[in-house]
Amino acid sequence: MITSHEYKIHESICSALGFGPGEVIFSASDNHKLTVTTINKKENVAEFDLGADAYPVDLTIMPSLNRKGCQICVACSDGSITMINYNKDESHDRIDVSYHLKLEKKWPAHEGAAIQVISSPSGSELASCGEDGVVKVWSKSGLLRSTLTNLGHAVYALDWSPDGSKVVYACQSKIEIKTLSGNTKQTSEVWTAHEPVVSCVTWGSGDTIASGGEDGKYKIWDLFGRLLFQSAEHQFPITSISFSPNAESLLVGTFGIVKYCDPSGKSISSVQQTNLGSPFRFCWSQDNLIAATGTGSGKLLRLDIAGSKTEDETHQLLQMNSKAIKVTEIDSATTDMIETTERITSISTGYKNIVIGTTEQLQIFVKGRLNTPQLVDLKEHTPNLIKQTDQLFAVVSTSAILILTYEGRIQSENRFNFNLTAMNLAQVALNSRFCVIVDPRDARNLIGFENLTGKAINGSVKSLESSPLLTHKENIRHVELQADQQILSFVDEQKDLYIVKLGGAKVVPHRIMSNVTAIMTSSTLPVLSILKGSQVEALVNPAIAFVDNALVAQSTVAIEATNLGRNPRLFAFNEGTVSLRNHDGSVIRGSLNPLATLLIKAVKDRKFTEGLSICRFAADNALWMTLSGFALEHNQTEVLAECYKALGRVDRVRQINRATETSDKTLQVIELKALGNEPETMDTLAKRSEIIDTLPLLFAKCAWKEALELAIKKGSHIDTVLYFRSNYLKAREKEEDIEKFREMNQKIDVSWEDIKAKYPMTA
Amino acid sequence: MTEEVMSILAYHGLSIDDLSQVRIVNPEAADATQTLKTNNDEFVSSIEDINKLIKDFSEKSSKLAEQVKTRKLNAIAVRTRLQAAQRQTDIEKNSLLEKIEEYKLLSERLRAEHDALRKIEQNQNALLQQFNS
Repeated sequence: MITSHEYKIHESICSALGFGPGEVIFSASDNHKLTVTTINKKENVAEFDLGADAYPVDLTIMPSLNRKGCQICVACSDGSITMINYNKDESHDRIDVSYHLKLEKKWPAHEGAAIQVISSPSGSELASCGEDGVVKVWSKSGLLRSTLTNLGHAVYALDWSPDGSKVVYACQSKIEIKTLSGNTKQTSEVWTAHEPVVSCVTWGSGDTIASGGEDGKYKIWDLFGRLLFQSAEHQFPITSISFSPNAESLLVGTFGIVKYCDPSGKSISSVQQTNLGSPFRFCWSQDNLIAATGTGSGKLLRLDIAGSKTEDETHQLLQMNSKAIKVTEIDSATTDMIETTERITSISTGYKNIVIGTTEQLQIFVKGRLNTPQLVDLKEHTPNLIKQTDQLFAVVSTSAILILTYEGRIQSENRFNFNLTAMNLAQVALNSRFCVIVDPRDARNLIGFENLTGKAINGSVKSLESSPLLTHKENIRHVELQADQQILSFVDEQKDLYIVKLGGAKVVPHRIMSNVTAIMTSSTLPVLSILKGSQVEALVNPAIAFVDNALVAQSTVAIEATNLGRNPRLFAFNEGTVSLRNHDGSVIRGSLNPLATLLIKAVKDRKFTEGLSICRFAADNALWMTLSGFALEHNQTEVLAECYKALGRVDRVRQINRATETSDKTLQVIELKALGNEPETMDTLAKRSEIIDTLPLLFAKCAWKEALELAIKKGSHIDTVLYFRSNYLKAREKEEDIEKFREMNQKIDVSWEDIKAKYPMTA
Repeated sequence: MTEEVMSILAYHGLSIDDLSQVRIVNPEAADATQTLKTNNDEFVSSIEDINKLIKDFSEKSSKLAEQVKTRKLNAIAVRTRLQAAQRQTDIEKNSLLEKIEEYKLLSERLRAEHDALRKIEQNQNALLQQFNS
């Protein structure tokens, strides 16, 4: 749902506008003035004269860490770009407020009019286009970095990719994408989008682009120019289109109409006004909850986006407008309203609390007692994201992460020298001990700190931003922490799922699964839900990966979720219920097998016999596998043997029996551990026991190299290894491909009789 | 005698009419003149009548023209109003169609949600039954 609020401040066409820090809107019109308007009171608080011959066409706000000031770049019809410093001074009690606008720099950018200027997502660069058909990239101080293209016809629209590595622009009927990176060859993708002219273009999430044209249609494309969606034809040309910063909503403007659409292009609601004129530009606030548009009749319209839903096991929160939330208790269906005096910027619910962030403060509600919130004044922080755990919650503001208790006490506060506004919830992970985020400057890095102290997890004394928790080879998309465990899991750009044990100075990620699009941990259970395309799975007890990697694939349980379309997204995982948002905006829920939930709870309380009976009742291999994983982790030999029996793994049962019969206690432990996959236990086992006991294990694992090395080291059974290796190869009709084996085959004669004599074939 | 007198009178340009009065003008011409006179009188009165009629007519027709003009204006106004109303209904129709589309989508979404929840309920019921049996 969108609702509009009118700010009548211009007499003629207004196409330059943007949201500034501290709840203001900047707008400029043909009266040669840049006007600052407060969002709340709709007052014009300051003006800046751009010069008598300046007709502003577009403006952009450079993102900054500062909550009181920013830089604004205005593109004018004479081809110049003007950079202006904005500052808000206020006294301590916030009563005396003054606004300052000062000219920083003005430079000629284009021949003819400059049509659009837009800051890169990080704020380090500017891109501009103009009637001369040139697209230029400028440094943030206004120095020319590069001229991307020279098309000979006016370029009417331009946008950055969310990671700032590419630029999309529209010229005549074509859309073109260009990669900026300096050292690689500039690649570009071109396709025909609208006849006769593409009038606007916007970049959504990483892989979609939306465009509107004079044919009265708007279309959504992937990055190769394949059409994903095409709207019906409108009576008038589409004059503006814009994705929200999180790419979850799309605004489309045509004469007299503003449409609010879901990211797949389907219209959800619209605003129609006959005297509106054509909306020429949209701008979004960083929290994605309000937008503004400037129209041909000089109106400035604020658009409030409502209808976002947040939920947990017991409550559902529905945002009604920018200052009110409807809270529904699911069991009793009773509703309640929460109303705030300032604009709401973030909403979260979970565990026993509801946390709401407004532009000025945090409101912490205890469920069931919604009329007495705990208020926390955040001073210079605006809460953009809230992530909850059992006892604590994290608040991500423009440049800091705060950890608070539900009583409103700040546990730690980490300030960063870079912008956090572009982050989303998938890039923040929190459990009772740690908080880990994806570094917004370089998504290959993870930054992690302890909640209580705010110090780096890896014990580094350097500042957090310069000592990442780990550096991965690919960009990291999702990060999750297991509740109550020191286990971190993340998904990278290649859709590989990795798992890491925290603690210790060195952390090594294990790859445990591929083709994963998203992950989310359960609010209460040690379960990781894994989204693979349009399939949902649950990995019960991810810690299993450290015990036996082979068990990971086998102990994942499918979660049944019907009617999942293309690209669903995980948005909640409460206890055993996964909630996904489908591409059409519907919320699809899927439930983890309740028996699995019971099993996890039983194991949590160390009731393994109960676990066994649950598994027997369910007669499900995945549950048996899960239980075997738990049993391995907790050294429950009998339970383990029972599991292997149920799974029909005779070899394993035999191995366990042998281990329990051994008198050597340490050997017993090691042998049991060898059931898992830890390489170091193999080494210790090899050191401590007879080679004859170790070889069968190595053979079973096809660890030929290790077996040969061990045999050479011990100086016996080399021929046995060679014999088994040649059998193995023969069975698979393969040639020897290990150099060492070839070498040894030439040196040593293998005699079956000898081997039979010294190697017990019973094993 | 009579004939003689007549000829003498005729010689002098005089004549005697049927009523035995001496006439200077020839009685035929006098008759014709008389007729002309009466005819003329008639003509004049007719002309006057026509004049009056025309005046009447022109007055009436200009009155009618006035009426036609106002009617015409009214008709034009109604026509434009109709056109505008048509456009308006078109716009309203479109927006209503769009609303329908939006609501269809919404109901589709809710249906999908409902289906998913039903599925969960089914599974849970199956499990309950399994427990009970």
